[in-house]
Amino acid sequence: MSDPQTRLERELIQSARRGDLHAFNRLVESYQDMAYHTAYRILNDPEAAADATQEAFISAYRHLNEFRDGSFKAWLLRIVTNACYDILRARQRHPSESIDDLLGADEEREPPDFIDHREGPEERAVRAELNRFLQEGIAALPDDQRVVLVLADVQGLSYEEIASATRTNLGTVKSRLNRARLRLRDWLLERQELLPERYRLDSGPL
Amino acid sequence: MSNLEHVTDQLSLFLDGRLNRREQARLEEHLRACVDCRRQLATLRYSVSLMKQAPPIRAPRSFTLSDEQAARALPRWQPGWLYQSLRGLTAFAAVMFLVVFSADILSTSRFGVSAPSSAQTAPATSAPFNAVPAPQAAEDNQSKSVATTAAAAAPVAPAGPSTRAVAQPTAPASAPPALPATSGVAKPTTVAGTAESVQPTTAPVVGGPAAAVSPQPTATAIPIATPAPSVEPASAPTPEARVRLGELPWRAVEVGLLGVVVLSVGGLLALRIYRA
Ligand SMILES: [Zn+2]
Repeated sequence: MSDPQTRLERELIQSARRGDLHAFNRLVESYQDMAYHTAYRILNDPEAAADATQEAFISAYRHLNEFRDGSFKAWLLRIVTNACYDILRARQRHPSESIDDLLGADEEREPPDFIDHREGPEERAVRAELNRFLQEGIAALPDDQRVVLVLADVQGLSYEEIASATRTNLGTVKSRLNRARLRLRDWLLERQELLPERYRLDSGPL
Repeated sequence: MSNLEHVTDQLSLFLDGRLNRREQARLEEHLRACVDCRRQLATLRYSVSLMKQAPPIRAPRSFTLSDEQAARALPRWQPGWLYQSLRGLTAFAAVMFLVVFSADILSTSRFGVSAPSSAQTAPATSAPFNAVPAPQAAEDNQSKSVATTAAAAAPVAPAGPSTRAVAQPTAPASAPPALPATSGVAKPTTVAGTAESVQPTTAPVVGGPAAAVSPQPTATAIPIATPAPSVEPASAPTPEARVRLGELPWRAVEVGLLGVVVLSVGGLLALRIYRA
């Protein structure tokens, strides 16, 4: 379990199950950044990510009774993943639109709103650069590999939680994650010069 | 040196500490011998750690649900199979009750003295009233149905002794309980029918068994069964009256059916309240 529930969270879940919308919305507030971030990494499109996030929370509200003990974050990410897959499947049915969207929007897109604002404008620019670099690398992965990689390396879910979230088995998760990481690594290494210097791989002794 | 096969497939698991002890030992042994795999591992570790530094992103807006969204999220309740079958059961039991009850009344009034017409009108008027399975009508009906069963159920026990009393006319003591037994069931028809026409119906039913026991208990019957006047004519005990021994199963069936009606109406109400 990647995220043991706090007592407050358990209480909020209990209240929300009894129909307390206010309690549910407090859960939404504490998880919406995480949910949106996940959808954004998987879908690489702010609007689609917002749609998936909203869908996921509506679905979570509807199915709250099905949540069993364990990590609420993992349960929620399973629903987010599902909402993302709905959008990915729709893209596959209408590929032309999505490719236009992706290619057109990518370059001029505003950098997303990062959570950590401590740094100054310079730091922020470096982060935005790193973000765009990683985002592009993730987007280059096949859907199934990208989903597993985001859940594992961005959200830190366990293999078991990922298997549940993606409705596959452990073996599939392991092999997808391995392939996704190798592939992403190759992509990153090929474009080292695009990375801010501090993030580049030391070419020192291995 | 011992295994020449590269370990690329296992590097990711190794980074996550998901290899078992034997696999891990073999992999480490291979790494010591293989520069290529060492390089693979180092670059993979770098790439994964870079990925974990992906800056967290803030949601561009709030995703809290409005009352409207929440209401739409929960599917509007459709009467489920349980509700539907309870409705069917209610209608079926109500119809069966009326059939049995009117058959009961009709067979009674044959050797009863009063107007058979009233015996027929009573169930006839009550029929549409009870048979409507719509929840609305069921709700209106419910309080009455409860009263009906309460009246009908209570006398079930006394009905036993009373019929035995018919067989042994020498026991007048057990006769009085027979009065509420019969009148109790008969009364509900008053609810449906007009008060005047039903009164005679009540009378023969009351009078029938009571008179069969002995003429004396009819005196006790008067205060209980208010439509006293018509009790008199009924007090002619005929051999046919012993057929009323079959009264017990009739009552049992009627009470049982009424019980089913009340229970299923109660279930319907409970479902509605639970879902509301
Ligand atoms: Zn090797």
